[in-house]
Parts: sequence; structure tokens; C-alpha cells
Amino acid sequence: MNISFSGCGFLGIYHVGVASCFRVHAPHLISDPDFKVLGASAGALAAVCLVTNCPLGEVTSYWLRITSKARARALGPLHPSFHLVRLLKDGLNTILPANAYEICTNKVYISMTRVSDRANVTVSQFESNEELIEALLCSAHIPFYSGLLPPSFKGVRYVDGVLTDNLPVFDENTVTVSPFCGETDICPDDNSANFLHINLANTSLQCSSNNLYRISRSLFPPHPEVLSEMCRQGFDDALKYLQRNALISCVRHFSIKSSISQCPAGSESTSTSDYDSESDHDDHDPDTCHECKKKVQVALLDSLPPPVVGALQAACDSVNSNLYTRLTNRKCFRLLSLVTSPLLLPVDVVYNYTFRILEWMPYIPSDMRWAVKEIMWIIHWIKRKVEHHHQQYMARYTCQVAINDAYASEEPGFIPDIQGDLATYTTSTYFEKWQKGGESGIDSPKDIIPLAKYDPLSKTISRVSQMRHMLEEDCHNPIEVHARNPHRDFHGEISTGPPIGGNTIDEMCEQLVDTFEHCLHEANQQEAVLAYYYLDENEKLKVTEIFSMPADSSDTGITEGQESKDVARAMSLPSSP
Amino acid sequence: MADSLPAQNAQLQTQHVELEVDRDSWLRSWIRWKPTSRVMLAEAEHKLLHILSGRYQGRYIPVTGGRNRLWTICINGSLHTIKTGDAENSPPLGILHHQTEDKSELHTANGDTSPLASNTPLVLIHGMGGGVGLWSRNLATISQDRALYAFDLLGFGRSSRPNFSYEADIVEEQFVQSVEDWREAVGLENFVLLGHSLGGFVAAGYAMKYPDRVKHLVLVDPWGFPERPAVPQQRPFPLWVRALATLLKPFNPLAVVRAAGPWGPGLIRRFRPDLEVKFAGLEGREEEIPVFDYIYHCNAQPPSGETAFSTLSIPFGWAKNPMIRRIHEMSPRVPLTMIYGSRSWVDSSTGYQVKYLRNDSHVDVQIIKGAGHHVYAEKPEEFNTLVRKLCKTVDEEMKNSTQHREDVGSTQ
Repeated sequence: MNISFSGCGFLGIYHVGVASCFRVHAPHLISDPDFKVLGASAGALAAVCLVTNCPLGEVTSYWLRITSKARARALGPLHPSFHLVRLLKDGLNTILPANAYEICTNKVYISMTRVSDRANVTVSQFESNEELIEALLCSAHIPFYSGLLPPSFKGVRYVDGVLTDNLPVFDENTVTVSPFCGETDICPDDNSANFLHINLANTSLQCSSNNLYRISRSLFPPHPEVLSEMCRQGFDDALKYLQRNALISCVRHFSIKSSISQCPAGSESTSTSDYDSESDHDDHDPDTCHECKKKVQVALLDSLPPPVVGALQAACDSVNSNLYTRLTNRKCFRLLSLVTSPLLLPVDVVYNYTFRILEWMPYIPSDMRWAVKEIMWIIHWIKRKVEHHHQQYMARYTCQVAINDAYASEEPGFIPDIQGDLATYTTSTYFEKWQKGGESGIDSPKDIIPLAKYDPLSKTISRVSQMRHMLEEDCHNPIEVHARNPHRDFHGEISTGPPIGGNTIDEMCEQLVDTFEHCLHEANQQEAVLAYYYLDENEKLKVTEIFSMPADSSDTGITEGQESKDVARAMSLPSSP
Repeated sequence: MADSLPAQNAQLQTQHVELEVDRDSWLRSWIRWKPTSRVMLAEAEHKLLHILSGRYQGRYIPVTGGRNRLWTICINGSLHTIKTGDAENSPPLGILHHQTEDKSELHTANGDTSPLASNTPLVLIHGMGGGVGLWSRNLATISQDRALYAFDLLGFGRSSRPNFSYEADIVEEQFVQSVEDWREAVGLENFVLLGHSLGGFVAAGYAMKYPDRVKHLVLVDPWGFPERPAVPQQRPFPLWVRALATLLKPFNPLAVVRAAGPWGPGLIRRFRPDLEVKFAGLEGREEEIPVFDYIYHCNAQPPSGETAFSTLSIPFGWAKNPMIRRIHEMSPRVPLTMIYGSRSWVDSSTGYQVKYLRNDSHVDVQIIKGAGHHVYAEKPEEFNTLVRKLCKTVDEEMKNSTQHREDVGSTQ
């Protein structure tokens, strides 16, 4: 069994409640060697705390200390004096045991987003505690909220996993935990039957006012009392889940259950033998075992463990009893601090940022290098995008002209389809009988301008020849020929034969093979009048050469004319049987 | 009346067909705000049901005296015997009339000699905001040994979108009556009735009124069963949350999708990316699953069933007349199976409550692990196996009872 904790900012206190429930009522699950925990952002923090056996009371009080700091000033967590990254780092350094990274390797899976390609990455290999903390900070780095520059893990920059996969799932047996009401295994029940759900970054959310409130509070923490309610709710929901799935039992019986359920159906003999050997030791049925019954009954009335309750109580007390905080929580004081903030803020900003910059000093060179590299990459990307579009446009335009000509000349009644998508060509063989002037029914003279650059002679038959894959040296490779009539497509691979059966297609292919070889012959004999190349969408180099052929020079011209008619006829045949 | 009805129906259908075949003019397609039409919905449905490779028939079935029509698809059965006027002369119904088999073949397949014909047919009713297309992962499997019918509920999908009453009781009555009219038109004697979500509510209502028709009632994550729980004392929400909630209350649930116009399809895609995973085809289809388009087109058209749903419910999606209050009125002869998804927002404990309330009849509660509200799409294998199994038990019971009757008859 695996658990996945969703990212949820300051509402991570809910996960603390869930974790403490698992620790109290299902310790056998956690100690199971196959047990894995996944998490993003605050969920990853909870996952590490659960696995490393951190004292949960301490975790709670740290968490609440951070939230009370975030609430202390007028702008809340956006105030420059609130440095989330440092607070988290300090907290983790104190709480985590020295061998935390060993425990977490291959047990905790942290979801984060790689900056370079915005892909989701799950890490579970840690060399040291520093690396583990790095990973946790990466996973909890909300861009602009936690800072401008993303932190790095093993030299690669990452930001919050919430952006791509907020609830990483390992397999079917992953128990999902989320503090937002939705279609999750362990989540609060909002007493709402609203069927409207949304799904953001793999987290399901029911559209309810409760969830709306929770989302708004995930980055701007609420009063500690609200947080302690959430913590309790987490405990209760987890308990409900354990009870519904009959996961509460004494340790001995659980091991029997898990050995049965984990054995695949094929190895039934081993599972039964396991069960037999276990039940030989102790012939109690799990249903009649007193220890199990007692545990289940105790769980019915159970609530958060005392250390966690103590931490929550202390936080609430400190807010309620402290004269200063009581004063600042008053509405008039809040108003006052809001009014005075424009005056005080510049001072605060200068003061705090001086410290931050001083702290940042040793990392400036590497960070700047990275930032410059990133900006250069973006510029390069934009440039390439623009150029790419440019090239595509040219290629399309030329092809279009050729098609119009070919059909306009062969079929006078045919209306060329200018909007036909011609970008699908890979290589094309088509013939055109091109005569200067409007006699062949070309729609508008504008269309022929690009080809008119090379002064065509009257009575010449020029043709646009085969475009070859210049990058593929091997001539024996099948060369694809796509001839296209704006009304129907014909695709055939010359060397491998036609893909679709039917006599007409066969004939057509033969003709095409003929003309193709002819083209090749001509192309080797003459020099091109016009040649151009371009890169297509797949970054393949495409070359087009246009040859000019005098009509009266040889018999080729005549066959050419004949062929072009044939092909045009063939291409107007139905392409499917 | 009986004579004039078929003629009326034929006339009605002709009008509708014209409506559908007539594609939107270019002007309308340019100025319309929502990129949807009945034709587009039909195309999306066709793509979604591609998996059946044309093994099904689709037809509009007239209900409520021919005023409305329910779009119905059928596998292994026949929709041709329906008295909808002169079937031969009436124009093809709907633009996508999937009828690959010969008519003669159909009749033999439906003849009494076929082993499928003796099995109890299964009827599926979809949930809120859906249509027959949503069963795409189940139809092929659960129709393997029986005739299967699925229709778009009145006011949803491709069915007519009439104006419902504004009284919850009457709306429920209207839904139930449309199902009964449909049954009569299709000519089914009795069947296994399966309803999901809102369809479950309607199915339960139907079984309550016509218990003899329903051989087994299957409710999949049914909506509208529990009472609205007493809201525990909680701290008041901030003003802006309350203001937003109040602002959105008078609107239909999916009004946002319609109001978004051209951004509507993108909205669904953006906020429900999980649907694609859930409805992804069985045999790893490469092309895009058109489930977003289908759901969009189902709901972008004028809301009728959705308004009816609003009438049936009170704030936060609870039913005005919860089924749990009335479930004991259902005839104990109707066996009931309730299937829930373990992650669904529909509380499965209601199932056990029903079991308690109907202690004198068969009630089975099944919870499918790891599934959300769309149980049938998220865990299709488990769901299909379960449904096939319980349908087979119905067949066996039927056989036993007829045999018993025959035995009794022979001894007398």
C-alpha cells in the first residue's frame, strides 16, 4: 500500500492529522518495507515527516510557528520580512534525523516541476540530508510567491510540483490524501452533493464554498484555530478510511491479511501456506481476536495524539492570550497597519532585502549565469519559432502554385482548391504543362510570379521534379510519393508497392514509377533552372529542383506530355475501391 | 386517438429530421456564440461509439404522445418493430443511422430461436449532463449475452429538450412517464434497469411506480437518495466567498460552460483533464478521445434536463424529495443492487441504509475500490463483470420461474 499526499500550501496541517492517525492506528503499514509515500509541496514535507518518524508534536508546532509568522504583518506572507524558504530550511534541519536521507531513499517520492521543459519529475534518490532538504524546497517553491529564482536539486532547477502533478499516484493501490473535498480516498466531506467537480493538476475538487475558502487560505494561512480544526479533520477522515477498509487490527493479524492480499493470484499456494503457518501459531480468527476488537473500539473514540493537541493548543493560546497579538488581531489595528503599510513598507523592503542580498552574495554568480542562460534560451526559442514559420510559409506557397497550374491546364472545368492543405507533402511528383500567358486558364497571373523569376520560354514543358531526402544517403530506401488531387489523396510507396489494393491503384502506381524514374533520369542529366530547399516540420531537409525542357528537343518532351495527361487522369480516379 | 397517433408521430419526426440534416448555414456558424449544434453532437457520439464498429442501431423513440423523442441506441435487439408510422416510407431518422446489418439478419437475430432473445434485456439510463455516449466502455461487454438499450434522458443529450414543470414532484413524474412511454414504444415487457447518478433517481422512481416491469434495479452512484444532513455549526465564511456563492446560486449548474461560448470546450478540457483518462478507449486508440466534445455538445445546448435537475434539488445538490424517505414504498419484489465508487462524493452509507429499510427484499451494496463517481468508466472491467453477473442471475431466476410454472401446469 502507498500513500500520496497532495500539495496544499499551509493546509498541510491536514496531512499532519492524517499522518498521526496512521502512526497511531496503522503503524504496521508504515513499517512495511513495501510502503511508499508520494507527495508534492506540503505533501512531500508531510511524507518525509511520516516516514522518518519525526515527533509529530514538534512538526505541528513548527508548522504553526511558520503560519503565525506569515500572519504577523499587514501583507501576510507577501511581506518582505517573511522568508518562507529560510523558515522551512531551519525547521527541516532541526526536525529531521541525521539519517533521514537513507530512510527516504526509494521510500519517499517527491513530485516537482523541472523549469527547463516544465515536465513533472519524481525523485526518490538522496545522497545526503542537504539533498533531501533541497528536494523538499524545490517541491515547495511557488514561483514569485517564495522567490524569483527557482532553487536547484542536484544542479537542475525545479519549482513546485503543484504546477504539474499535485497528487502523484504510484499504482492502483495508492491511497490519495487531499485537504480539499473531492474524489480522493482521504479528504474532508463537505456535506455537499454538488455534482460539479473540477480537476486541477490531478487533484479533484468539488465546487463548494468550503473548497473555495480552502484554496484562498492555502497560501494565506488562517487563524491557528481553523488550522487545528483542519488537523483534527485530517485525523478523523483518515480514521474513517482505515475503519471502512478494515485496516485497523492488531499487528499480528494485519501481517496475515497483507501477506494474503499481496500475493498474486498465481502463487496461491504460497499465500495459503503463509496463512496456515501463521494460523498455526495462533488459531484466532481476525474477527474474533480480542486484541483487534479492542483496537477497533478504541479507535472509534480516538482523537489526535496528545503531543499534536498540545502544539495546537499552545499556538491558539499564544495568539489568544498574548496581549500584542490580541491587539493586532483587532479590526481597528488591522486597519491601522494597512493604512500605515505604505509608509512602513519601503523601510521594511530596504531593510529586509539588504539582508537577503547579503545572504545571497555567495550564490549570485551561479544564479546569474543560470538566469542569463535561461533568457538566452528563450530569445533563441522565439527566434527559431519565427524563422520556422517563415520557412513553412514559403514552401507552402510554391507548392500551391504548381498544383493550380497542373490541374488548371489539364482539366479546364476544374476549379483549383486554393485552400487545400498542401503542407502535408513529404515528397511530391507532379507535372505541369506551363505556358506563359493566361491561355491555359490560370486563375490569376499573380499566382505564377514566384516561378516566373526564371524566364520561361514559350512552348517549354517545365516540371517540378521529385524532392529527395538529402539526408538519407541510401537510395534503396523506399521513397514516398504523394500525388495529390485537391479532391482526393493518393499515397503510395514506390518500392514497396501500393498500400491499398485495387486495379486502378495498381495501374496508377505503375505509371508513377515510370514517371518517377524518368524524373530521376532527367534530374541527373540537366542542371536545375531553379532549386530551393527548406526544412519541414520534422526538421528534415527537403530539396526541390525545377528543370526546363524544350518541347521539340527530343522525344522525352512528347512522352512527357503524354505522361502528364496520364498521371493527371490517374490521379482523378477514385482512390479507394 | 390510437389511429391518429402514428400519423402524428411520423409528421413530427419528419420535422425533426429536417432540423437535423440541415447543417448550419455559414452565416449562422459565423455569428453563433456557442460552437455547437445537434449535428456536431451526433458526430461526437458517433466517434465515441466507434468502438462498437457500427454494431448498434440508433433511433428516436416518440414519447409523451409524440411531443418529445428520446434518442435510443440498441445492441442485439431491434428498434424496427416500433410503431412509428410507416417505417419504410418515413425518412431515415437522424443523420447517423448505424445499420450495417441487413434487416433480415436483424430479424433472425431477434427471432425467438436466438438464445439472446430469451434473456432479459438491459436498459441503461445515464446521469446528469451526459448521454448514451458515456457508456462507451461498457456497451460492448455487457451486451454480449442480451439485448441492450440505452437512451438519452428527456432533456439531455440528443433527446428533445422540453420545458419541464417547476414542481419537483411533477418533474419526477415527467421523467418516469417518459421512461414508461419509451418502454411501451420499444415494446419491452420487462427488463433489468440500470441508472447512474440522476438516472439512478429516475430509475428508482420508475421501479416504484412500475415494479412489474423491473426484474432487477441497479443503481450506480445514485443521486438524490440521502437527506440533506443538518449543517454543523461552523465558522462563517469570509464575505467574498458568501457573495460569490449567492451570486452563482440562481444559475444552472453548467451555465458557465454555455456562457463561455467559444471557450466552452477549452474550459471542459482545462478543468476536467481527468475525463480523458477515464474514458480513454480500451484498445489504446491513438486518436483523441472525443469525450470533451461529446460532453460539451451535450451541455452547450439549451438547458432543459439541467433546469429539471435544479427543480428537483435544493442548494448544494441535495434532493428536494430524497428517495430514502420513500424507498420502503417500493415493492419488495424488486431486487436492488447498489454500486458505489469508493472515492465518489456520493455517500455509500446510504446504500446500507436502504438495505436496512428494505429488510424484506434483496438489496446488495457493492463498492468498487478506487473508482470515483463515473464508476462504469473508471473501473470498466469490475463494473462490467458485476453487471453481467447479476443479469445472468436474473435470467436464471426467470428460467426457473417459467419452468416451475410449466411444471405446475403439467401436473394439473
